[in-house]
Amino acid sequence: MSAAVHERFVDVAVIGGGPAGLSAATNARRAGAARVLVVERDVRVGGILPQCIHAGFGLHEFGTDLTGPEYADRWTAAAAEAGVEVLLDTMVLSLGPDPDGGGLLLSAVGPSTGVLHLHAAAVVLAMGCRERTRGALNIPGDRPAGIYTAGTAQRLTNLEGLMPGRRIVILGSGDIGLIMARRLTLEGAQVIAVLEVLPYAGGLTRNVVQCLDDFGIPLRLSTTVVRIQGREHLEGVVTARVDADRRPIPGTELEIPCDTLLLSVGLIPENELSRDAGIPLDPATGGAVVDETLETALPGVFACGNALHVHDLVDYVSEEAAAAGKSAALHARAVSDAASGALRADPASAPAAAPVASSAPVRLASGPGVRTVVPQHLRRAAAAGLPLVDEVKVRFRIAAVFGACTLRLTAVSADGTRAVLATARRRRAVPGEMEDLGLKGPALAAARAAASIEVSVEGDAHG
Amino acid sequence: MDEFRTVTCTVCPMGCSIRVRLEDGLPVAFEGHQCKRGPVYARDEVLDPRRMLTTTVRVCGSATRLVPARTSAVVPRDRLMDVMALVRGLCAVAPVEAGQVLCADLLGTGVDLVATGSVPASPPATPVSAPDRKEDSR
Repeated sequence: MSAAVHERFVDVAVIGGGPAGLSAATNARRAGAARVLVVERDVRVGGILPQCIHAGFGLHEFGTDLTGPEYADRWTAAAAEAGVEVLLDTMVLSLGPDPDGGGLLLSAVGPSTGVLHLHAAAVVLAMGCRERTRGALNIPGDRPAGIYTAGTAQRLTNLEGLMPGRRIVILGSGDIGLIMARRLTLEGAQVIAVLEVLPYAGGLTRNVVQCLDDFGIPLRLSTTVVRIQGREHLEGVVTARVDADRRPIPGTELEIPCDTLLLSVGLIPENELSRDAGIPLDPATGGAVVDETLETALPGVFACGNALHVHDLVDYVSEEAAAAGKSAALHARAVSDAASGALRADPASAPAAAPVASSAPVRLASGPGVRTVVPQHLRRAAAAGLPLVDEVKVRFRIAAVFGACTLRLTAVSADGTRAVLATARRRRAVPGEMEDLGLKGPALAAARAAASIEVSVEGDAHG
Repeated sequence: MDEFRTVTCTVCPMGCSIRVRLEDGLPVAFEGHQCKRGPVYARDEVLDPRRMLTTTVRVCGSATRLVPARTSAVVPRDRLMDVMALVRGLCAVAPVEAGQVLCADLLGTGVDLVATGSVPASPPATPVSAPDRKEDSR
């Protein structure tokens, strides 16, 4: 069997057509990139949004409360208006430096193009994330039917019109699990309980009230599933309370007959492509290590959205992806300027890729109370075509529930001297809500001169 | 006769637990809130709790089975299940445009059910899954 390989040349290739990809592509066009192509493996754009029929999207980005499908439609229209091209039903298989030039080469495959070699001056990684499955939890028992991730159940219910079951237990109190508890109740199922291994709910308080309390669904904290019952189909689960180290406490077991178990136990950034391309990942976020332009360690490759780190609000995904798209457009222009300048002057001196920053970047590190930080690096000097940005947003997740507390960015100099760069006070802060602190002006200049920057939270941790 | 109700405020992430004292069913005193928005929220929540409803409606005449929908305004919380019983019996005829009213004045509430997505009349040109195509197992 043989097939012709299609070759295409673009300025910016965006991998993934969810909210991150649509915003990155739209903003790459707005920043002047001529040819911007989104490669999407599904048969439509929008990513997970079409199945998120609940409201709560767009308050930050559009100043109005939208449902997921409405939010996706707005960005789909914006991308079309900006002149973004979309290639559907096409899967990117690999990514790496282009052996034929200074840019990047993607190989992709799909029914409309066959095998596609896509040459791009810059690439944006916007593949999103996946749900953690039963395999990651090590719950003893057989492997009966009736166990779904919350997102799969959401797809069945909201897109396919199928009910996953009638008597349902939900493990994990993240927002998707809470929203599915309400959704399945409204559709006539009985949600027996939502279980959470931690001593506090993972999702927003609003969702605990409106998805559980409104319907009298109990939330059992510090509780997990210790056994799956049933061989062909799920017949029940055995739950147990857990101690402070999340170990089941003997004697607290409780048997709950049910036909469905939904898992809402976390999301994992999807980075097989990035890993295969040799792009270093941050073990804390599961996404690529990036600087403030959202560039990864592979020059010309930028990352954003849930592929970079898991967000709780899509509005912030769009905002972050816009920055990645803009950076990619600037990089693409620098690559093409370098190529045309080199043709005019001296082809032998053409730069192979964008020049790297002149000195090692400043590292941003998780300090006390902080679990993840993005970006992980700050540039000290501008690269060709990518000027230093004048405002940097540091996004991070804290490690525990805090009462009154102070969020802090601290510059640490080579001799250990510490200087506070930015602070914010919170009356309450939770791991489920991403925090951010901005750097600009003199604070940003001081940050770029530091040996490293520590992100920390100080206050009363509740657990 | 005094009666007490506890309401979890959802106005901001603080999630204050507000204790409301009722006299003859009317809220007269609030405690536990940390800002002035708390009593306003708690009062509404005690007297007339309302919620936005988002759901799906079956579609006839298209390969797409469902269209997402929302209520045009908040509806009384204790009518949600009644509204859903009505919605489950509806079938929208394709094509459906986002913003189209799918059911006017739900159960006399004055609130409409509005489509939040569009569904074309004809089946999409590219089948979602051809019969001979292997689904990737993930």
